[in-house]
Amino acid sequence: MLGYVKPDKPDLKIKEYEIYGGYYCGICKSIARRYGQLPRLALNYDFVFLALLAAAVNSSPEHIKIERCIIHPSKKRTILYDSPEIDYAADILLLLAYYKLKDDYNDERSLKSAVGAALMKGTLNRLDRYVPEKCAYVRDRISELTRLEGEQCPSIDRSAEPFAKLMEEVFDYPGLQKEENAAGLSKLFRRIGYHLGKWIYLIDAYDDIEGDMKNKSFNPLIIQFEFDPAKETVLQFKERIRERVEQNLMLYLAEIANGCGQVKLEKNKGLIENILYFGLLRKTEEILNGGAAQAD
Amino acid sequence: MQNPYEVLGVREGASLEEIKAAYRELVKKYHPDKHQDNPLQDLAEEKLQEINEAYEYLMKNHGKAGGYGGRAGSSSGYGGYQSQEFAEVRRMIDRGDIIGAEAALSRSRNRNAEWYFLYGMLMLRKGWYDEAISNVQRAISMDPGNMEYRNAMNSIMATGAGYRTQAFGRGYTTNDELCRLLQCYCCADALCDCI
Repeated sequence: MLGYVKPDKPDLKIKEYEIYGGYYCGICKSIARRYGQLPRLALNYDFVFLALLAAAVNSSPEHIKIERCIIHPSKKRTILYDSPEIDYAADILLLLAYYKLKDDYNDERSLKSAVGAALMKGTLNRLDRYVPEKCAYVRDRISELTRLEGEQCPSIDRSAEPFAKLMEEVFDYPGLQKEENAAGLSKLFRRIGYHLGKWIYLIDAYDDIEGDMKNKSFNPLIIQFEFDPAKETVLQFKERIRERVEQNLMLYLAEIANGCGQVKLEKNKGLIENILYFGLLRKTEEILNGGAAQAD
Repeated sequence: MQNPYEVLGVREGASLEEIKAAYRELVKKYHPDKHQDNPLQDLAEEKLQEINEAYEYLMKNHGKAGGYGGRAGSSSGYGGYQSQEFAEVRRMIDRGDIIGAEAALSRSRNRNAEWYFLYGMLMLRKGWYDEAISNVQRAISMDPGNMEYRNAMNSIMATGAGYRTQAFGRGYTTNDELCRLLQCYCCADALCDCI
């Protein structure tokens, strides 16, 4: 799921760009403070959106520092600190990074992933203290996911379900319970998480068709739409299923946007809307067109 | 009258809150104050009227019927030739009782067009859009004249298209040279920006 959920940079205001970077660096710093230096290597953009959205429900001011960072000593950066939402996003990022490494190890048996997963054992223990319910839930969904892969599940909806449920759960940020309309917010966040999970799962599956063909890895699209190498090339196959995949992706995006539209955003509005309407759509079109462009 | 779901840009079977939220958004957009002394004034008023009608219809009928059946002169849709067998399933889907409806449908031996349609609506409720599309498509191919099924399909498609329209309305552009250039710039930039 690496790097699918991002803003469309050319359309960001400079101010928004700085804030986005501030959340990103904030997550990195939060990992360093609470987990040590090494897990910082797992840093990615995936849960910046969650931090932005979770922080947007209340109008409490952000704490901003401009400081240097060991990883980029030359340039000062905007960093957000003391934010429970950022800490939570960091926890979730690490939790998923751990399972990603484990999954890589199961797939490829590479030394890198083995070492990574082993090194992250300590991180996982700490996560079990910070967000115990989420850890247990994520672990169960990941094993369901693995089981469906093993069964060569022939339906994209069915095989995406554990990941969508996982995202539904992690989007239900426990801090929402402090808000006035806790039940309503939690419901909306779950819905956003569920559909974002489905979008990520499907776009990743479409993006990986070539690779999965080569490695003979599980890909629900190859099974559901019955790819037959005797009759068509991989690119023809991608072209054949493209419209259907696109219809699904657009429905997920409509639901995500609709859900976010019902959350009263006290801050980060421009950034969140940029990700929703520009970033996610751009990524969708890039990946859908990727296949077609090569086919020409 | 047009399909009220389409007018409000929500999917068939949307919840009351979603309908209300969509309605509020649209009223803001087409409010006469916003279009005073402007050539779009008449158009906006007309549109607002449509929106109000659609909203009233959905508020009145929400929870009573399974959704919007094609009317406008057609005799199909609700109260048309729907079987009694599935009336309870329709009520369950409306209430959001997904588990109950799924159980009732899987018990039924009568896999006719309506069965596939309702199964599709159920999948729609669950967020399983791919299954929804293929089941409603199957219902349509079994009973091509049924407007209820066709309307449902159109409204599913309209939801996805609605998102894209919104994005374009907000200034999303494609295939623009500058845009591509900036994208490349961003890729290069990202290399030194992230770890």
